[in-house]
Amino acid sequence: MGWHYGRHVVEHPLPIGASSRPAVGYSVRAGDPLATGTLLGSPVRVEGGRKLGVEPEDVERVARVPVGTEVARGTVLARTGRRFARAVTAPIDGRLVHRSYEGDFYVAPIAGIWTVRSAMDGTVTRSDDAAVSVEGSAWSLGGVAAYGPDAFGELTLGVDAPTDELQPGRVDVRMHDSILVGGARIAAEAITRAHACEVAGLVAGAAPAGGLRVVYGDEVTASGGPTLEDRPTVLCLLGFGIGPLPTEIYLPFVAFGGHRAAIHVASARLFVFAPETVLDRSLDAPAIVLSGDFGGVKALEGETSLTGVTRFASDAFCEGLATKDGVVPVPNVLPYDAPR
Amino acid sequence: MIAERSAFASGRTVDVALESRVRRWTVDEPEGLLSLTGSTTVAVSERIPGAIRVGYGGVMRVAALAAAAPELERELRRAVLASGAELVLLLRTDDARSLVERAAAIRDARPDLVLALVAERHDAAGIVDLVEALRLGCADRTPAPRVVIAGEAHAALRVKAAAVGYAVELLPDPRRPDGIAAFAHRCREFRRGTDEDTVLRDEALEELARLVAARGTDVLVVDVSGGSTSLVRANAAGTVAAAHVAPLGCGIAADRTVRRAGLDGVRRWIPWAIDAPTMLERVFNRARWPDAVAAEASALALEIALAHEALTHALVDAGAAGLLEPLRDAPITIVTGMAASFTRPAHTALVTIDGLASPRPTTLHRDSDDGLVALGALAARSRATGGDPSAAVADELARRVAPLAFVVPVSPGRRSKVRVNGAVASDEALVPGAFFSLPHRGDADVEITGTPVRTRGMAGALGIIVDARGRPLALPPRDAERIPTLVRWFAALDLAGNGG
Repeated sequence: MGWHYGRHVVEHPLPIGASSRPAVGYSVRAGDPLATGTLLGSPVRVEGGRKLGVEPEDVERVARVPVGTEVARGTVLARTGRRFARAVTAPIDGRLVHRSYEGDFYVAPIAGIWTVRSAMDGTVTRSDDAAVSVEGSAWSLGGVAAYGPDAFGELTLGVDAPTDELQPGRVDVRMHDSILVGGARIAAEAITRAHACEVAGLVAGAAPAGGLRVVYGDEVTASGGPTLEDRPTVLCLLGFGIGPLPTEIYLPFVAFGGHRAAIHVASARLFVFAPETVLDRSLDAPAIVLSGDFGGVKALEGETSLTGVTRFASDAFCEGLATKDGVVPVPNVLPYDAPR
Repeated sequence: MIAERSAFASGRTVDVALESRVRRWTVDEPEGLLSLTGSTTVAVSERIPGAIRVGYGGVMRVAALAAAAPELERELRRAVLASGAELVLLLRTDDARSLVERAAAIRDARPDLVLALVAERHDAAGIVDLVEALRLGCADRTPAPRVVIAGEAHAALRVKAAAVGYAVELLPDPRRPDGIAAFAHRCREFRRGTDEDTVLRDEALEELARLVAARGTDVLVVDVSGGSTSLVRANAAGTVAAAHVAPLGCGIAADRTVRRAGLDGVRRWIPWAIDAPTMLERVFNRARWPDAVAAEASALALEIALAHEALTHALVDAGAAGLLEPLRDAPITIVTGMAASFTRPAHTALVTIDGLASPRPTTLHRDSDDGLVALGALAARSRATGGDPSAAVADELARRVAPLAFVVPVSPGRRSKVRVNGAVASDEALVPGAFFSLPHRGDADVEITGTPVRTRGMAGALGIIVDARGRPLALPPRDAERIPTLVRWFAALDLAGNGG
């Protein structure tokens, strides 16, 4: 399918310790803080039910502070009785993070603050301690994998042609807070340079897997995944190694230049917040082909014809497809948006 | 008998899932005897109502909570391996992290199921603390993970009470065989979901192992597919020991295999020089391209190397669960999945011999077209409905279980020679490091003079493979020595190691 305009639901998982998050129905813009919370130190357990002399299920009734509240040392967490009162108090400054099934309280010191930003212009449709979802309309383009935290910024072209490689020399500090569009490949050095120049994110047909490993560590996989730390954000649209962008994918980038955009890493999608009328229709992307040695991906172009069962250099037999670059196995040709 | 026939009649087609396609087998049943009449590969979307589908089921992420004793970890791993789930987190009561850190670990692990094993009554308090971390970590998560509690009865009830707000089940202790079976059954139900026509691939493999072992000889089924790797050992009594490791494979889980084995671990099996970044790009592309075909020799070599490491690491996992030796000494080995589908049977033999590194002789078979997996699925479906599939599949099984090679590992003496059926097969003395194939078909009594090796098996297209390379198998670290060594091994089974 390639580029298309429509409504999308974007889920933002939250770390533990959310202290503020929007209510359902609240409107947000991409890049706005969506939820904030606290990084917590080791919690202190405070006896609740037993000290208060109530059953665990009754602690809720006598609690004075809801879970999640910031508390100062000495704050009364729960209290029973009138004349001969029993109370439990917070032993430290921090947050009441949890109440156990036995009625005990956990108060943890605050070690820092985290913020999760919206990757979509729209309305909050779900908001709880686990996740906040935002639904909105935008142009979107799915990729094969994304890495790093969600990114937001103006879309800027970093190459002159869809077959070009994004070179480190094309990245400088003037591009800070923008999402830079590469062509067939992002040079590994360009990833680290872009991060140093505070470029918000990088999008290209492919990225070097070895470079991703250097930046994101040996645990990195082909599926990508979001991180919270301060890392570069990379979205691979076609694959790894080299992946020249088909015209149907590249030309809208030119049209979208200067518009706000967001990379949602968990779903490996790029959203561009441009009016629906910027492009006159959804552009169907061509099928893509995996090279015979698995080293790269490219668009299927020109005339094609089936060759029947064909023997390939590896001795493998399967249905072949004759292309202008030779015969390729049919399973190595997939629609752009095929589930992968 | 009537019930059995009706069970088979409901599925005249068996779809064996590959990655994005299925291999569709048509089944004939003349006089109650099953036979597979032909297969074709179709898109997974082309479903036939009522067809039996052999698939991987849903991904099942399991977090385990247990006391600190190391033997508990082994038992938990054994239960998870038997279930085909992925162990994403093991939290022990002696974990030094705080409640918040434990909770964050659980949240990051995103478990679908949490298995809490309370081995002793005095472990309950520690496990309850871990359950509190679970409650904090998975608060408001949709869907919430299911909780399974097993172990000492009173302690289990206390832990159950702590898991407020979660769907909790009590299962038999997984340290006992019935507990492992119950946990595996429960996990498979989760993985199968609501699709009643699905036979999970691991169920089919276990049934296949049972069927073959029922003929009187212990068997090991080795399945290396795109996304999972399984080792199933069965004996004539029908007892099965299994390790189903997912995600680990040579296709869509290629990246996970590299993460486990390391780049050099995979690269060492490729018989020519390749730089690590280039190889990693190929691995990542393969992982994101279901059912990709290796059109060039270099891509095929990568898949073979990945299969080697997938098998090796499945064995490592089995070893961590105390299953290693039972899985390596079966006199019959059947290879299925992608590892059996390489065009040249010698590739299958190399992957199996090197990956298993078994010190015992074995007759090697391969299921190149998933026919045996389909038969296993038919039998599993029959058994699930109360039938006994042995008689119905016996003929087809006998047709399809044809030997590929008889593999004889040996540590040769000073003047050892190979004798086959009483005759000297080669005049040259057998030396340490030798690896070669002797042409032979059918029954073979193999004796290595000067050693205790005197064994009997069946040889096929690859003859008798004599392997004197020693165990564990050692590959030279430097390319200058490693590549000629690998090329020699490939050539020994009549393969060209000069692609790419």
